[in-house]
Amino acid sequence: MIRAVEKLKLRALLAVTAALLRRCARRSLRLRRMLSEDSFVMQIRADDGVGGFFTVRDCRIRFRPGVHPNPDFAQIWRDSGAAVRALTNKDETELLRAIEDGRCRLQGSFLIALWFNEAMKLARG
Amino acid sequence: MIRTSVLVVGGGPVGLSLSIALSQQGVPSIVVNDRKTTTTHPKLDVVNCRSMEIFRQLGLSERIRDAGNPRSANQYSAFAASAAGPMYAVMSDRHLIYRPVADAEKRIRDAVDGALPLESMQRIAQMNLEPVLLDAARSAPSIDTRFGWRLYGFEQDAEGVTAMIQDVESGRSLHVHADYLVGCDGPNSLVRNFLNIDYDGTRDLVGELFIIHFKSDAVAALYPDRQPYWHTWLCRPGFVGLLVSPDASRNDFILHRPFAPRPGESLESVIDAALGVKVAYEIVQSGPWRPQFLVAKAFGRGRVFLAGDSTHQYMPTGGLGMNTGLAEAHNLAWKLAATLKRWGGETLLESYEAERLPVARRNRDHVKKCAAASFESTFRGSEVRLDETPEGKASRESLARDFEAKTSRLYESLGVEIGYRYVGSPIVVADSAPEPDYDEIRYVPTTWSGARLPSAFRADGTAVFDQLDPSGFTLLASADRAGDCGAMTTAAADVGAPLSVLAIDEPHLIALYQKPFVLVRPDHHVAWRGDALPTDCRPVVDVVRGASRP
Repeated sequence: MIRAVEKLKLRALLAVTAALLRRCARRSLRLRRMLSEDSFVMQIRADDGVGGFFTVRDCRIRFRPGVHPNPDFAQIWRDSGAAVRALTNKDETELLRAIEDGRCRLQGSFLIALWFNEAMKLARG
Repeated sequence: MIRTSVLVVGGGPVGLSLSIALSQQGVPSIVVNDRKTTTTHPKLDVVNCRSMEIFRQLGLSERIRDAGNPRSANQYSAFAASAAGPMYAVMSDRHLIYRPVADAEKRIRDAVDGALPLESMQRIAQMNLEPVLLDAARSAPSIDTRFGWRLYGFEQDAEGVTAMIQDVESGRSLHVHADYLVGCDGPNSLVRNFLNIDYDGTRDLVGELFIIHFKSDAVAALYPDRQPYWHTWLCRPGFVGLLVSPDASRNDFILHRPFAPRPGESLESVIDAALGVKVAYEIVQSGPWRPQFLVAKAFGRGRVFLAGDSTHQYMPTGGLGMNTGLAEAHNLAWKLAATLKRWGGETLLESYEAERLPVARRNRDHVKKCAAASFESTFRGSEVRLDETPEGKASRESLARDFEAKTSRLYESLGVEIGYRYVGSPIVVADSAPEPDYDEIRYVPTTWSGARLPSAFRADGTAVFDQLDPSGFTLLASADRAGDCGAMTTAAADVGAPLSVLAIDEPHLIALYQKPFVLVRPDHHVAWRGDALPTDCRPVVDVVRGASRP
């Protein structure tokens, strides 16, 4: 039951994140500039099957649930609960702790992680 | 009221170097610094190749080498499970910069293609660099160094800057009237705040990292020949970090961790984990810090300029913090001197921001790539296998290859260090040739206008850089054409701009410099080049001294 709730929370978190980023793109000149300069696919998923990917292309950001076959950068979490706890933590360093202790694995270019961190900071205001 | 030409706020490496460079140009300055002493924190651990070239021009390179890592000691970067091993990879010979300085100097002397810097990098802690600079500043009669004094406020008008400075201990205040003020006062720059100039960029993209400075006589024994490597990147399942030895002859070590100790962890347990063995050490200081990727939106207003960390804050990956600031000070010093001596025109000081702001942004992007590369390499360590099986060995070899491919960019980016060009500068005569390709890693020697002159040696072994005028322009002319330089020297003399001619007759130099005439600025950058001198050289001289737009 708890695992089902955590999966639900991760699905909701990813969807809300996408909405926040799209809203921010309308309001923030900085994010619009970032969107115009980059093009990539970023995957966030958990080993329990929940996930989604953000596609930045043509000055837009799109989100789709599921697994992308070839993302430029992927955060792969041990389970949905670990992902939700780290991604909702205000301390940016929590991601690094999670990587070191094996709760999260990274694949691809960490530059995209920095891009995403900046975009999320702008989106949260 | 005290009067001076330039008031330098901040007595760190950039502020002190600026005052020394001004002194070399015959310009008096006052340096105020709110701390009474130089830093006791190791801080930076490298003076890069370009900065060493600048320090050579200032007559300080040998003194800095004497104060830093011995010339015979390594400058290696390794990737390991812990300082005690196993070592997955040691970068020791794949590039000039890892070599001991004595060996690198030989390689530099043997090179004839201009692809190497004049000076190799120097491994040194800021706490050992600053006393050398302070000593040099205090011995210069034209520099009034006031440590223990802080800036209280300033106003500027068309005639100059009036600042109030205050003795930190006694509270006694003094007014200083200066022609110019330069804020070299660090990331929390009071000068930048007074000017209401913001940083461009978003703060805290990485979060809060953690640093521990400790002293140990035992750690050296973990390395061959008792010479700790410069950098030992640590990664294994459950532990990542970076152990820095800023100087193999000293017992200072700095351990960087991506976060503060977890609940239940002590500083000692973190150090023990990094070293991989229990040895004696003394913790000097520790604390969190937040790396940034920020560049100021402007480099000054009116008669007030910014340099160093007041213009940019970088994560140290790539070692471009102080080194970018030093190049800023070097760029600004001759322009201030030329303006004060009245041969510099109105756009000369404007060109400081036009030239250096794009470099600061480019360096920020490079530092970000370096940070990403180091995170990617070290965090892969959670997957490494330490067992002595074929699979374990293959896992470590794969990690080592990945480390060398990615992390080498932190060290080997000569394109970034010495390949920057002042494209579109208002004081560079636009080159008729298209801009040569630029590569962040590989330096491409070129005399394309705006580039740093490639370094090379004369037939008698003298470095060409040592023959360039640090206070004026030098016109390099192929020997068979050196007699044609009269029009340029006359045009410069007419406006009081110092210009000397250096005849070049070595075939390798004539080939390297690409054109028979190359006009070089005091900061080693090419201001103009050509196949022939113009009949009227005055327009060229006016552009390069900032008296007219190109």
